[in-house]
Amino acid sequence: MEIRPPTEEEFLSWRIRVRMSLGDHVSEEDTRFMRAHRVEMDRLLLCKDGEEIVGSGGADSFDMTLHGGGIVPVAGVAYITTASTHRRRGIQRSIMERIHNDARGRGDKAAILWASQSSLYGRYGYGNAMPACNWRILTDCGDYAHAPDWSGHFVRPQRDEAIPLMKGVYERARENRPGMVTRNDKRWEYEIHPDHSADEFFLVYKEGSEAHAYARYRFNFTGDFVGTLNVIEAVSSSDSSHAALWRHLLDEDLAKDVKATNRPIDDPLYWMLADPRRLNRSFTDAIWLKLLDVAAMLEGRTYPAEGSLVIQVVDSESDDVMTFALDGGPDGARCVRTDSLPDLVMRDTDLASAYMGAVSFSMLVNLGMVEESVKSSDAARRADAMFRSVPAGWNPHHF
Amino acid sequence: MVDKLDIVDGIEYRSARPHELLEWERMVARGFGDHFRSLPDELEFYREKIDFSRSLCAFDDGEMVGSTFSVGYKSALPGGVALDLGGVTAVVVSATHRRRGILTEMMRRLLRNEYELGVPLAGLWASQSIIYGRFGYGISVQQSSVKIATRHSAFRHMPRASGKIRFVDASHIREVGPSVWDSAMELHPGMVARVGMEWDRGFRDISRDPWSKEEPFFIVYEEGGSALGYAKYRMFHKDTDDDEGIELRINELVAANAVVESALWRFILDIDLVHTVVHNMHPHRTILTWLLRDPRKLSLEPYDALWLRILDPVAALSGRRYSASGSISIRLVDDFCPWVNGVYRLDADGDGVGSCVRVDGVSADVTMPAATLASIYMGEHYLAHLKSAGRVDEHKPGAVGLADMMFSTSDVQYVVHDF
Repeated sequence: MEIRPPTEEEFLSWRIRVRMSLGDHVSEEDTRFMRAHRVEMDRLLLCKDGEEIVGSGGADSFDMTLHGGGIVPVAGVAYITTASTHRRRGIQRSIMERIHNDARGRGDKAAILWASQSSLYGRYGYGNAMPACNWRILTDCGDYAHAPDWSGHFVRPQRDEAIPLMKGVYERARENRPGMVTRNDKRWEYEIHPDHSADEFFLVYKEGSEAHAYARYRFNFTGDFVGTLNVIEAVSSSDSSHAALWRHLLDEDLAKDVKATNRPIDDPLYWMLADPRRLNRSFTDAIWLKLLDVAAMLEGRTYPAEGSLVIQVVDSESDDVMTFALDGGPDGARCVRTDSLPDLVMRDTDLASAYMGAVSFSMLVNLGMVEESVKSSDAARRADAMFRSVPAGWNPHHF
Repeated sequence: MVDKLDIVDGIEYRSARPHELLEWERMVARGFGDHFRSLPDELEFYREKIDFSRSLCAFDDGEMVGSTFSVGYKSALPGGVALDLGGVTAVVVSATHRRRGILTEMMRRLLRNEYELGVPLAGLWASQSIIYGRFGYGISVQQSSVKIATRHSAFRHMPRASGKIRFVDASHIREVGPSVWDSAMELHPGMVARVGMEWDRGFRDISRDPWSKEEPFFIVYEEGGSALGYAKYRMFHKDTDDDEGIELRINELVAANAVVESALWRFILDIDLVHTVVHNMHPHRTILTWLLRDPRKLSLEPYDALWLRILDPVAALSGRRYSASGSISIRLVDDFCPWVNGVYRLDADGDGVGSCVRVDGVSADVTMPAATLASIYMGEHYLAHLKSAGRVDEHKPGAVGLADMMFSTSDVQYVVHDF
């Protein structure tokens, strides 16, 4: 069986393969639109058994923000499927390895993905790194008890006017939110599909002429003159615009409740509500992270507390062991390979989770998942202080 | 303790008296939508154990129409230390006496009384989350309701536990539970030291109905003859569309360390015929996400558990440990407990030991309501997030970040005991 990028002629059948595995049909027109607006052909892979495509995979290129505002190129891994006729033959593993090697060759420092199932990707070195919350709130219970002041106004643009305004907000928000990735002009066109977004509403909050927050949402009627406001995406670039945006969403006429998926786990709405328990939250793993270049990633973020750590990392794909010496603080970090004895020994998956602050090193040590050197029994606590991640990682972009 | 006898707008505010216990219990039960039930000797038992002087009730023409009460707990704090906490409970206003300011009046007097007793912290479980913010309480510790299908409960990593688990009677947990609890308190800020009466109530060998399916089971984890963890759970025969068998609900699972906690969970998840395990009193920062091979199968819904009220900022801030050294001046704004109003300077040394002095008149680095301090006090929530919600003013750039470095902790907050 051969693994290689699809040709232009094969793209439609590649796309059919991917969507079929996700329980979906495709049209030729949609596929052309996707080809033009979303995919990088040389980052896609197929696996062919004779004439039949039996596996797929690939990546989109993004730049991702890290703590402290640093930006690194990452592979947004997607399109991973294997035909049910060809399970358990190592096709997925081969495709993943090829994607990772290719990404390293391109200079990507990390790979991220949305997992169709949360049991799949730990074996390839991905850690549960940016969990998110799904929300439901009754609008009757949406009063604020606290909020920063705001003074702007709202506009209700149609799609074509909305996109540049939203892009401006997204770009400003991206600077300060670890985990957010670039969304280029074509991808904006793709995300808000000209034909499939007719039922979307766009709400934009502006201060003067500048947009600071937006929401895309649908309104779904559940009865006469009553329904649910389903937020597709809500991004704000400041605390006051966030407060203004959610006030407006919660005050929308006819909405009995508001639902939103993939909200940041540290969203301040919880702390603004007069009756916070009415914000029903459920946790979900959202983005999984793999550190392709551990040293570059450790060096790429800043650390709220000054500190030095020697971390030995076991690679889940190769079982290779590498040791890194990290010196970090609020102004930046240095990280180099070392032969020194480690303070902490851990798998790449767990480092990816702890890197984004999703789990504490202490908890992993307490569970025996991270080994703490006898010579530095406070290493986990020092690491916790260094890797404390405010704001939490969050990625609103689906891929 | 003298009665706090006082009359406002025709309502008398004072402690409940021992002979009023039955009336008190009935009113509280009614307030929570239930009838008062007890075993014949129970009322006498409580009459002897309850410290009536820490109640603050309202009476209209001699009839009890409102109630508050504070239980003398110790609460664990970050760093394995503890302070006195008044566990506020039995907060009820009779439906006949709504909207007369009775709750506000009782709460003000109760908190004043606690403060005068030298209790630096008050805490409660709120029946509704809209009530207590106005009295200066802030959400301090969250917990989660978790649920998982046992067939999706494989661990990717099983911590090595050398001990054994066995079934025991309630009386055995009554005996060994308190020492397990003491060990767990060193790990979990927010955990309150349960008082003896509550141990008696939760772990007594009384089966009122010999055929009851709801009698709990008790297991204990032991290493070298000493108990390091235990669990209490009930089994409900409950077929669903997807499964047949038993839904197991954990009432309480307490362990001296994370390895023992893992072992107790693994044991419970592997019990035959059980298709689903539910634990509504689970730590918000759960180990399960990190142990499970398929973490998305864990349903995890957080909720507000402990609401905290800072009564004595000097004692409270001096009493916990900090994760970073530093100095910060905090202006607290407090309309409800006016003695709290003021500026407090907190210094934490390299060992995390804090000392706090009142420095009124000094310009503060941050200004916040007392409820905001309560929310960050146990180390679970970041001041930066409260700032985003407009709940703190930062006068000195970087002060919020410094506060988060100092107040955050590697410990896992967990209240466990619902009072």
